[in-house]
Amino acid sequence: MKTTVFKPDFNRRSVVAAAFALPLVALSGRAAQAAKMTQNAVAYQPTPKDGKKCSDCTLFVAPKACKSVDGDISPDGWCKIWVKKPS
Amino acid sequence: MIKVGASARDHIITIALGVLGLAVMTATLAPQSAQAIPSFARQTGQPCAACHTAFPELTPFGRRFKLNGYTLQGGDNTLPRFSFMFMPTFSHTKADQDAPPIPGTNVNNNLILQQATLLYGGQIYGGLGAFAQLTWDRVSNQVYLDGSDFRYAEKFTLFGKDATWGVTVNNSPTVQDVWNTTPAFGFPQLASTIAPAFTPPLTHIEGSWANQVAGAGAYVFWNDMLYAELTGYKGLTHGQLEALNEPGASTADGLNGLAPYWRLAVEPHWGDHYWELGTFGMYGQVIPGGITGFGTDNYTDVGIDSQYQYDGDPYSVTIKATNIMEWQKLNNSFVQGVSSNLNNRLDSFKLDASFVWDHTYSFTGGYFNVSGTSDALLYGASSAINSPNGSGLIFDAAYLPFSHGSPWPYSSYNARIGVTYTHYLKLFGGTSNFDGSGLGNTHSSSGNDTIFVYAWLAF
Repeated sequence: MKTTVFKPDFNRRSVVAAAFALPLVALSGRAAQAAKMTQNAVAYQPTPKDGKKCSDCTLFVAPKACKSVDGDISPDGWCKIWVKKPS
Repeated sequence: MIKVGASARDHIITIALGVLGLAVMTATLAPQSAQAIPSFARQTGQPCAACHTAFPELTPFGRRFKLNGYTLQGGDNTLPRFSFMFMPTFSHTKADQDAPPIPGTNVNNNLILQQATLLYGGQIYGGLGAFAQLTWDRVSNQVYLDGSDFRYAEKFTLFGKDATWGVTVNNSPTVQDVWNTTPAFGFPQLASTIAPAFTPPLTHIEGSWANQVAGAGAYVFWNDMLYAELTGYKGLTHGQLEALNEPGASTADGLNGLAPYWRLAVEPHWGDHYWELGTFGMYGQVIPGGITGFGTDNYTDVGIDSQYQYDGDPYSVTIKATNIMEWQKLNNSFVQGVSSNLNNRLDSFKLDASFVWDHTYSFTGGYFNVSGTSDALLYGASSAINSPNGSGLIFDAAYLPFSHGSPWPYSSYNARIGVTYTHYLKLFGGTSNFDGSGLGNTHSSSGNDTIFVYAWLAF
């Protein structure tokens, strides 16, 4: 029986092209902005927890935004990725 | 007296690297935030503890960070998103192996630098991010592209609910998955690469495709609960694998056509309690050794998995169960006299539970069981009754000193220092003399019991 080395019907170039095509297609025309987390995903609540509140978090952007979480953020809110602002 | 197998130079290098790493990390000044893959946290401004109960096991937030394409921002650090990881290890088995597992080691009690990895972890541009690894390992003594995942993700609204869609390009099926119930990041995440001498055979999706394929797929995560993914994989030729410097490239199996991989999971949560139930699987037509002319061995793997996680403060509990059923149609192996049966089954079951206190002290216990069709040609060399069946228990205890903080000035260290004990209840269908060789030692299941001490150091 004939024995040959297996060679799939695509080459290295096609693999590399396929590997990068999808993300680049998706990128086209999009701003270089990474998506933030939804409030639901980080268990955001508009009230403090255990004395921790958004205005004391390193991610808070005054007056009512967050570097990492979507939507309006209360300075008195809290979520799971709260990180104490350096004093 | 402990006989240490590696050469004196290897020992000196291994110990020096370990001591250097620990000394630098424990020269503690004011603690600052620390990270699992440090570049991820430099990017997000989050501590390791945000994404990991005890790395690499993910928290709910860690899963969403990954689904979001590794692109979430928040940190002020602008260093390139590279990290470096190395892992000195010590492996001891209850009985000596018949021969040193690799050149330069001994039949037991081997201290080695098991692995060193350069990682890219983080945003590339916009919604495009990556977790990519270049690894050197002691066994192959090669630097190669290890399990890597490039992905693009975006938010949208579907049926009035928030959703994320994304595409993934990766080289190891399940490396893209976010639950630790699937093989790539399943327990145990760390194991010795040079011990024990005998382990049960595994289903194909449990590593056989790793670094041997290239795949692209799409996924959607809807309403913070429902996940669906479809990915197609193509095999890499020997030439392509050699170009990536993959170990064993010249004798690697081929893959005929496109191999589909699917994943469906639902994870509702109630407060800090998350419960996941899902399925995953893959179908591949394998050409053993890449040698055509004998047909293909067709493997259908279907996994069912479930995970309960309490992500509380100051502790977490994670319980995971995975059952993988594999149907093998061995057209190629049967014709070539490698298998006795044309059709075989092989099932792999895992159940484990972990308790992590304050993301710092981790304790995990697990049970595994592999069972399948007896096959004289496939398993006869290791089993007196031609059986693949094996089972055992695994216990891991680890200390993660930098989950919440690390020494100044470099606030991006992480470390997992631990010990894993594996006890084999059964191997290849037996307990004592399972292969009928009468050699004793590791030819009895408990002779393969392994104590594995590791330091997983990243910065």
